[in-house]
Amino acid sequence: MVVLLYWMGTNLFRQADLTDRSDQVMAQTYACRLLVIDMEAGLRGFQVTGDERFLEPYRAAETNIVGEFDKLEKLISDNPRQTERLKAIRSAFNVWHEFATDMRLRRERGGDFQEGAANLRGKALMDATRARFDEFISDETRLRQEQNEKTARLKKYYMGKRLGLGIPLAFALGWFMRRKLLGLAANYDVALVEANKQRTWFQVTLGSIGDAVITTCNEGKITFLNPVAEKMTGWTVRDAAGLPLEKVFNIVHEETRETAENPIAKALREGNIVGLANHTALVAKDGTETCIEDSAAPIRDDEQKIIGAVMVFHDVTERRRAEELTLVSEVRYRRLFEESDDGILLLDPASRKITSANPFMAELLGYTREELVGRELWQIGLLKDESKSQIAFRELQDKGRIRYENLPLQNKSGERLEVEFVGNIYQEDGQKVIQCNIRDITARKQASQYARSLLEASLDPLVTISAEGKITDVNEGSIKVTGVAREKLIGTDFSDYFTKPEQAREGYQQVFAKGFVTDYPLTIRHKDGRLTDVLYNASVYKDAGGNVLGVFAAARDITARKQVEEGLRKAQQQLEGHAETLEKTVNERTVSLRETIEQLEEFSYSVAHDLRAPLRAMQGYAKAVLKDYGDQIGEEGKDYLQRISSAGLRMDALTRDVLTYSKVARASMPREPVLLDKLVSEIIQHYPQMQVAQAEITVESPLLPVLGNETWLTQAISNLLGNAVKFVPEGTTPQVRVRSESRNGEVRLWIEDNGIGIKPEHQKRLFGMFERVHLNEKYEGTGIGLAIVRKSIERMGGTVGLESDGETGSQFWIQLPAPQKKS
Amino acid sequence: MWDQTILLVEDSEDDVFLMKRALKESNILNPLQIAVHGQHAIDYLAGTGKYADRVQHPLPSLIFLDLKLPFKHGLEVLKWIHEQPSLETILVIVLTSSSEERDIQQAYSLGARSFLVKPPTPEMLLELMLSLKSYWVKFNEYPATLDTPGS
Repeated sequence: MVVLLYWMGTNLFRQADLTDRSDQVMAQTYACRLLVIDMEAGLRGFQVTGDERFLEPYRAAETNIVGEFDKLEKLISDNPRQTERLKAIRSAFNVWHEFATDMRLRRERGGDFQEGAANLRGKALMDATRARFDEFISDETRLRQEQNEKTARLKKYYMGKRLGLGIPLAFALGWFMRRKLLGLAANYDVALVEANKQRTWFQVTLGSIGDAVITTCNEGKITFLNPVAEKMTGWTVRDAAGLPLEKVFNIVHEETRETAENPIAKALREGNIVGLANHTALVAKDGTETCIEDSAAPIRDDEQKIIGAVMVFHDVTERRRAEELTLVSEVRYRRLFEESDDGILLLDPASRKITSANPFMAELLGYTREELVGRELWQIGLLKDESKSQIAFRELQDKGRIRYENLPLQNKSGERLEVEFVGNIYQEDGQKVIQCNIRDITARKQASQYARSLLEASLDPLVTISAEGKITDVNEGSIKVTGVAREKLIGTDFSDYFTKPEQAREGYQQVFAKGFVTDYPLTIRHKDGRLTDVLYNASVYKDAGGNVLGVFAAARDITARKQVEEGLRKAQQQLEGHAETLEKTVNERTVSLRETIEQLEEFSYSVAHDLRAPLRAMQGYAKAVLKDYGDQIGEEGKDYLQRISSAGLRMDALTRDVLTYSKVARASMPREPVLLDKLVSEIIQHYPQMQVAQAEITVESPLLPVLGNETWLTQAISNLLGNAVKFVPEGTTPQVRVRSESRNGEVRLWIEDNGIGIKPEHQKRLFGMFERVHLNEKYEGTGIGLAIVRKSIERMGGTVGLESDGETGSQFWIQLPAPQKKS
Repeated sequence: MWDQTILLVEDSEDDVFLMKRALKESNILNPLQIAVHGQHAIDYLAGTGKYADRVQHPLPSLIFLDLKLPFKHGLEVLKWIHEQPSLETILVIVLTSSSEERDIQQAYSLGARSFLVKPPTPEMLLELMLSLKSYWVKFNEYPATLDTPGS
């Protein structure tokens, strides 16, 4: 009996203990779940804003969560099923945590933290973690329910048993019972103390958890608020106790602003746990609003009678925001998917069939999206055939990623395209998914082909050289200039094709060192020995990461330029030769001219001396005969001798004028200002035939000064004045007028006579050599005088001329520059 | 003054004839010596050979010097005279056919006292000689040293 009672007692206690433990498990589970939510919300906040403060809850939770999980594990250590579930939670969390760490670092390093696939994956991981939590919690809730029921059953059962044992047994064991009961009473005291202890522990626990907790009595009046609830409602326990819940816990629908139904009222009414009402806001005493998530449950006593209710709620503002952000990013990634200029396909790795395609993909391939779904890649022309497809998928499974740079593709309408294909495999909600990105590189390829054709079209030899000096690529120009085929050029030493290999080597080494060279001179040797002079311009080329891949070198053929230069040099030489010859010729001619002049001078010297000597002799002897024997030779004889004398005299004059003329032509004739007034009056004084007795010469003073040579001007004016007084009709007194006039900055000196004049038809040749226009012996002259006038005046830079009608005199003029006025 | 010797350096016999007539007509009666070429003149003046006899061939006071001469040009003769200190007082008058500027320049710089062009007619020559007589022979004063040789 005792044993029986003891067993019943301990059984009952153990059962109560189990129920109690289940409560602890629930509390601990919620604590863990909250930490996870904190982490996710924190990470989201940080990702979106980059603000480190968002990471504070994340970091705090990160530090604590392992310990919290361990506590939970200890609490459920006797429940293998839940232990297993917890393991699942932890592993799901660890996967997410790994992802979260990666994303956090990405954000910190400024990487692409918005990458759609990654974020979708993050969401999937978190959803998985939550799902594990939910399973765990619902299991635990069920367990607790079961245990509550079991406790109640046990109580009833033990009651029945107790009555059934019968009175005798009761009496028989009366005293024992008494003692035992006394012992139980003592135990009860202990239990009471224990209960108090538990109550304290409960309050401490409630006080320290992050969720707000409010309890009410079965009428819905408040009995307890934990500190979080106090803070959120703005009510203290003291003020709130006994008040109806609605007064303290005022909740409205966030959008409609309608008063939301009180979860406790519902829990009390229905006797069930009331789930979370979405989009409710708690209006605090001071009017501030907080978005909350709440749940309520009735509290029952041992008899299952509802004795009150408990409500747990917490602030979900942050989580709501995080969810909104998640939604935003989901929309964003959806949009990326829909609007992308890359084709995107999602595939099921198991069946290799397309599960989703974006519009661009459909357009690129010419299929509708519906047509694409359910097909395999090789069926839409992306991979050649099924076997190729299998190879590609195996590679994808092994490496997690495949990439084809130039994948030829024929779309539905038969158009040929080239695409870049990237396939990735990743987890989505625990499922493997393949994402393929397909980029149309036809245009890029065409551009590159265009560039290639440009290079090929270039007449300049172009090469690329590796760091080791090997030729890696050439154009047509290089082939032509070396006479070596492309395949034979590629891979050989660049320096092999030059007359000075070491200089070529030095050239490209310089490029690697400096990054470039300009106008580097080299000579390319053609296979058949022909040489081409070139200037190299070269620079290094790099990959996208800035690493030097090689040297690009362009040669400019300067053979033609060199030929031109050579031609120019020769022409210059020739020119110099010509100049030399010319100079020599000039020198020779100058010498010969000088000789000629000397000869001429010698000649005139001889004329002056030797021709005149016999004239003097003729004269002299004729006169001597006249003088000494005049009376013996009669009048006729005297006349003949007189004629001999005259002829001699004329010839002497002629000789003298010829000499003068030859002097005019070669004499130096410096010019200076000449005062004509003075010069003319001196001339008139010098010649007897111009004296007042013989002629009337009027000078209209003042005569303007001229620029000329005084000596020769005297000669010229003397000749003109001499003519003026000489050529007058018989018996007429010469009348001569000398005047000057200014003409276009020059001075014209007129010598006008009243002589016989010169007929216009004779005027032209009047100034010629030996020209005489009057046959009358009276007007004899040498015919050189006017030639001397013209020659001398012209040599002074002047002109001469005359006006005459051939009857009433002549007007001769000479025109000379006026001297420059001195300032 | 009238006994001073005149040396006529002249290669043309005609000119010598005309000159002698002009001198005679102008009544210049000084002894006249003739040198028919340049070297002849220098030999005479230097007193070489037969000219060492200064009684027969006295040093002249006046020289009429033609320029266009065989063997030695008149200007060379003039230069030679110019270089002889002992002859520096002799009056040298150039009497030539033509007035070449360069001849005139050189003649004066080599010590000629006058430059005359032979006139084309005997009348003009006579006129020239008369002028010469009144100026050079009649009015001009000579250094004393020249008085001695002929006297």
